[in-house]
Amino acid sequence: MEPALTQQKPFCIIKNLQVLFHGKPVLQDINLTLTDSRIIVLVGASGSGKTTFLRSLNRLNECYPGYSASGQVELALSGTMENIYQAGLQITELRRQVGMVFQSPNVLPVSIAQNINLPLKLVTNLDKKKREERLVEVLQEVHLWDEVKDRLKTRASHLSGGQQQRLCLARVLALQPKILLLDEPTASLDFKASGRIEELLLELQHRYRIIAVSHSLGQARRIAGKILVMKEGRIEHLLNKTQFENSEMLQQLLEEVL
Amino acid sequence: MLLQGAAIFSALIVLALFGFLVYFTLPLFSEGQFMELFSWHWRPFHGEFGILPMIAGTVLLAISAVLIAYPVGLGICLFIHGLGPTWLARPVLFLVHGMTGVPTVVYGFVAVFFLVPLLRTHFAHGTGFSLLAASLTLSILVLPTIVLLINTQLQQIVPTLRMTTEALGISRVHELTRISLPTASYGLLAAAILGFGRAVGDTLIALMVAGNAAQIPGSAFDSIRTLTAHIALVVATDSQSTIYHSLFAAGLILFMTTTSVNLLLHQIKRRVYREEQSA
Repeated sequence: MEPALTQQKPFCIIKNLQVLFHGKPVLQDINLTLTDSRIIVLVGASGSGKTTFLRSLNRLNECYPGYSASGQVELALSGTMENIYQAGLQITELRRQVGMVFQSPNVLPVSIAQNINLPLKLVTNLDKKKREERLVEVLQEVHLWDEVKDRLKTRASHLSGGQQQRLCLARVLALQPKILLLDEPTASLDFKASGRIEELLLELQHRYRIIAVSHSLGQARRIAGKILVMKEGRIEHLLNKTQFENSEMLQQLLEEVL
Repeated sequence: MLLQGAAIFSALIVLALFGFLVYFTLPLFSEGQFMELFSWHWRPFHGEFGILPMIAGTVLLAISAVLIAYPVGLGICLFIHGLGPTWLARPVLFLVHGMTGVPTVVYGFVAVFFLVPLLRTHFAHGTGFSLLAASLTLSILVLPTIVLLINTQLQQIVPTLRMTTEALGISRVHELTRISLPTASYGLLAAAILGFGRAVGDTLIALMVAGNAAQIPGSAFDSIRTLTAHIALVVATDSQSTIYHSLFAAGLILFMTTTSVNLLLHQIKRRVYREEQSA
């Protein structure tokens, strides 16, 4: 078991980050130090740059056309703070350590077991036995094991939306990331499935640094340790728990930005 | 209404074609010459009308052309879908599309004047008009069919997977070879079958480049004659007698081959569809 995450040490330091697409700024003047061991939730109107912010932490923005950026992002990866934009950085290794779960479940067109096993095989050098152990471990971690243990060989697309999303989470966890990026992980799910994911995230926050985008204020208040409020590509506010639990203050802030 | 009419009309034409071929092949049965067709000797002046060498030639040529074109086509598709630089993907695809518009005779012409002399001088074996020359030329003709079919499949699969695999840290090579291609198995199979069908049906390349000797080739440098070229050659020189009837048998075999190719494709498509429904 890894040691519990300490609160004081920053795990993410961003300096003067600017991201442009086709010359148009999407993120501007981002200066931020994140130390929390609790879930950090990003809220803001659509188009405020939340997803782009997340993608700048695993350099996924580069996969979209017209991308350019300046500034620096340091993440605590293998023990030390590392500038993830430095030349020569192994981008596949970065993405293994900074796992991402997307808005709608994106299972691979293979079986349930292969969804976890295949990335493990391709990205890590674990042997077959270790991979099988890891498979059981992560499926238990996301509370999917009992539901799928008898049909691991069936196609992942047969699962319900909520199960698929938990499978996607398990797939990321299997790679043993340091940081989890969640892009509106419950947006495509019904109320009940969302609730299960939320409970799960509250459990996982003790083992992983989690940064999540949320479309729902209610959800943000339920799961967040800190809330980042974004507006027009900038970070407007960084609220801690006492601030956003004061609903009047939160309301006021959000009216201002949303 | 109009569409239905067109469909019935074309179905009737195909049926009529089949009936026509069978009708003209019938005399061979009634005159007891049918078995003579299946001999290894085509010596019309000695009364031997075996078309087995042509069947062998057709199969050899079609298979070798597909064997050459398929890996190249697959490579081009992988290049387009992420192994090559993004800016080159579109021009390459455009080029392949352009290849479909090149008249076959141009390929044949170029082969006769460049490839055949090249083979003749480099390998000093025969005239250069050979199975090898024909299969190389034919592979270029078949290539766009293979590329476009595989590409169509990958276009449906790769974009949905790309961000997922990127985010997991899976390399493009692994994504394509371990996830996308296995998912595109229908397209991969269909491309091979359709490429084969296209290669079997081609007449001009075989006629111009393969040398047209009705024999079993001892090596890739030997000359062969295909069923299609055989029909074209005999029609141009003779229009009577048993020779002529044997052509209909050749035609019938070709017709049934292409029909089976299409039926096979249809079957695969149906199976894939059923699998998708149950998925």
